[in-house]
Amino acid sequence: MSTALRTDARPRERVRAANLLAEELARQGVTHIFGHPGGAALPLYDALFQTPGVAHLLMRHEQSGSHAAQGFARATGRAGVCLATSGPGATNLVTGLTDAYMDSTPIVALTAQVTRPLIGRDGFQEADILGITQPVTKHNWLVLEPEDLIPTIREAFHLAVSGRPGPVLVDVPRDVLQAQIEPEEEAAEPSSRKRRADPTALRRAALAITNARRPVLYVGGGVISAGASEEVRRLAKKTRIPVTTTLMAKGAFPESDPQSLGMLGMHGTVYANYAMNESDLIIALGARFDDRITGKLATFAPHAKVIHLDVDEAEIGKNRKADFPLVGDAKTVLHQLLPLVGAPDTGVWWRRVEEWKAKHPLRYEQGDGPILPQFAIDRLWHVTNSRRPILTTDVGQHQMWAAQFWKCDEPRSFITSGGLGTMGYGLPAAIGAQCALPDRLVVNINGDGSFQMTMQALVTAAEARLPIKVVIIDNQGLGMVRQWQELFYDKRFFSTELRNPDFAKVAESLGAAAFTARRPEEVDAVFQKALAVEDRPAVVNVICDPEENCYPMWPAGQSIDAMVIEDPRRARGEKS
Amino acid sequence: MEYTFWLKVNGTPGFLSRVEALFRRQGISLRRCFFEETAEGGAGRLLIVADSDEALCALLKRQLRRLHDVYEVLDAEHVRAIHGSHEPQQALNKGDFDGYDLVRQGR
Repeated sequence: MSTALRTDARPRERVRAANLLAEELARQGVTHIFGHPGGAALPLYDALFQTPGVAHLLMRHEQSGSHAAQGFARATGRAGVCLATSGPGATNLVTGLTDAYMDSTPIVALTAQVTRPLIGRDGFQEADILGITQPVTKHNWLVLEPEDLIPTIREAFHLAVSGRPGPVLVDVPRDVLQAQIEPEEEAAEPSSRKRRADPTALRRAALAITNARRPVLYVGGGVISAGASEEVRRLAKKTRIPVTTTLMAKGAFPESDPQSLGMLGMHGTVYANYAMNESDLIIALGARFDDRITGKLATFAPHAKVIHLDVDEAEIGKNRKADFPLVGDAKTVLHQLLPLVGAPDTGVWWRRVEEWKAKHPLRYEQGDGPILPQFAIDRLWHVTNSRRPILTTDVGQHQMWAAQFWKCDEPRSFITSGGLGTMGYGLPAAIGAQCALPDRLVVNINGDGSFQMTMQALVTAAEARLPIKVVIIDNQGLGMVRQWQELFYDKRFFSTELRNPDFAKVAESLGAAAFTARRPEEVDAVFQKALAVEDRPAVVNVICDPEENCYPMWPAGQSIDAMVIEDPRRARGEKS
Repeated sequence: MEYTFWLKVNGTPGFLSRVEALFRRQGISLRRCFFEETAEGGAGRLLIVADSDEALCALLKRQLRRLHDVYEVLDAEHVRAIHGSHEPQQALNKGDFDGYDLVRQGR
C-alpha cells in the first residue's frame, strides 16, 4: 500500500461512500468478492460495477460465500471477502463466520444494513447482525458515520490477519453507503510487529527438548497461519524428533518425510497416538489440545511435560497444563528457539516408533466388491499428486479418510473445516481456492450428504469457468453418523440413509461435466476424464460401499486404551 | 468464590456485551458491574465482580485480553498493593482508579 500523504489543503470533491469502499477494497488487494446482492447492498453493488480489478462471484447462498472466502484465505493467507445484504443475507453468513472463528481463518464479511433511521425499529430485512455475530468474530463494527467507513475497513483488514487470524464483520447502513464524503487520505500500513517469546522461558524450553528422551512435535494449524512450516522442518531435522500434525496442520510438515507420523487424534494413525501417549515431552506448536486430539483429558499423555507455543495466550493451559508456555508468533519464536536447542538422544524412542509404524500402518483391502472410499481417495491422490493439487474436503467419513490417505507435503494444500465441522464447506471452499490460485489444480473430496448442503454453488463455479474437480464419495448416507449409530446406538439406524438424486444429472444441469464410477476398475479412468475438463467444473460420483467404517477410531471422550484399530467385522470374518 | 476483574476498555457500543458474553458462555452471573468513561472517545474502566473458580478466572482473564475493545486486564493483586484493598466499593471511587494509573505511569 502507498504511504503517500496528501499535502494540499484544498477541499476535495465529495464522492459516494460506496464507491470509496469499492476503491478501498481494491487498494487492500482484494481480487475476488463472494457475495449475493439485495436491497440494502445495492449502492455497493453499483460501485463494484464501476470498479475494475475486483471480481464478484455471485454465490447462490451466502453461506457458500463465507466458505468461499475461507477457501481463498486458507489457500493464500490473505483475507477472503464475502458480502451479503441486510437481514437474511447477513444471518446466512453466521455458519461461515463461526467456522472461520474456530479455524482462525481471516475473512472480512461486509454486510449491508437498513438505513440508520430504521435500525432498531424492526424494518424490513433488519437484523442485529452485530449482536448475532459478536461471539463468532474477532471484532465487528456498525458504521454509523460515513466518515468512519474507510478507516473501519482498513482496521478490519488489518485485524483479520494480525495476531491469531480470524473473521471480522463490517455492517454498513444503506444510507451510509449512499452518503457523499471526502476521500480518505491514504494511510501508512499499521505496524504488525510479530510477538517474540520471553528469552528465559525459551532457554528452559530448549533445555527440556535437549534432555527429552521420548519427545513428539505436535503441530497445529497455527504453524500454517504463521508461515512457520520451514522453521518446523528445521527444528525437526535438527532434533530428529517425530512429527505429528493435526487435521488443520496437514502439510505443515511433509507427510512423505520419514519423520512424519501423520495425523493424530480420534481417527489419526495408531503410531501418532501411541507416540503422544508414551511421550515424555510434547512440543505443541500452534495447536490447542482439542477434544478430538486428547480424548479423555485426564488420561491423555500421562507421562509428558508440555511445551506450548501459541500466539494466543488464551490457548495456553486452556485444556492441558503447559509446563513451558511460550506466547508469540510461531515463526518468530521458532527462529529464536532453533539456535538454543540440541539434539536429544532419541535412538531408543525411534526404534519403538518404527515398531508401531510397521505393526499398524493405515491400510485397506479393495477386493472385487463395492468401491471402498479409502481406495477411491488413494487412487485420486495417485492420479493427481504430480500436479501438486490443493485439496478441500467437506465433513464426515470422507474427510477423515482424506486426512488418512491424502499425503500432503505443502502447507495450504489441505483445506478443511476442522473445529466446527461444517457440512457444506468443501465445494465453496474449492471455489475460493481456485479463484485465489487459478493455475493450480483444485480438488474437492465431498460426501453425498455434505454435497447436498451447498451443491448449488456449482452454478457459480460453472459461470466463472472454474475447472475444480468435485469427487463425491457416495455411500448413500450420512456415513459418520451411521457409524456412530452402529457402534454406540446398537445399530438403530435412523435418518442416516439418503435417497440421493442422480448426481451426474444434477451436476450437468448446474453446468458441470459429470462422471460416475460404480466399480473399482472404473475409478482411475473417470478421474482422468475429469482431469481433462478445463473449461468448467467436473463432478465425479464414486458409488461406494455404504457399510464401510472409518478406523482407527476411539469413542469420544475416552482414552487411547479404547482405540479400535481395525474394523471388528473384518476380524470376525463378517466383512470382506 | 468472588473474583474481581479490572479492565481498561474502549467503551464503544457493544463492548459490554462482548465482555459479558465470555462470562455467559461459562454460565457465570455477574454480581456487580461498573463502567466509567475516563476519556473522550469512550475509553474507560470496567469493574466486574463474578463468582468463578481460580482456573476459570485465569482463562477468562486471558480471553478478555484478546477482545479488541479491551486494552488491559489489570491484576487485582497489583491494585490491592496500591490501594491496600481491592474491595469493589473502594474501587468504585474514581480516585482509586486514578491513583492506580499514576503509579503505573511512574508519575
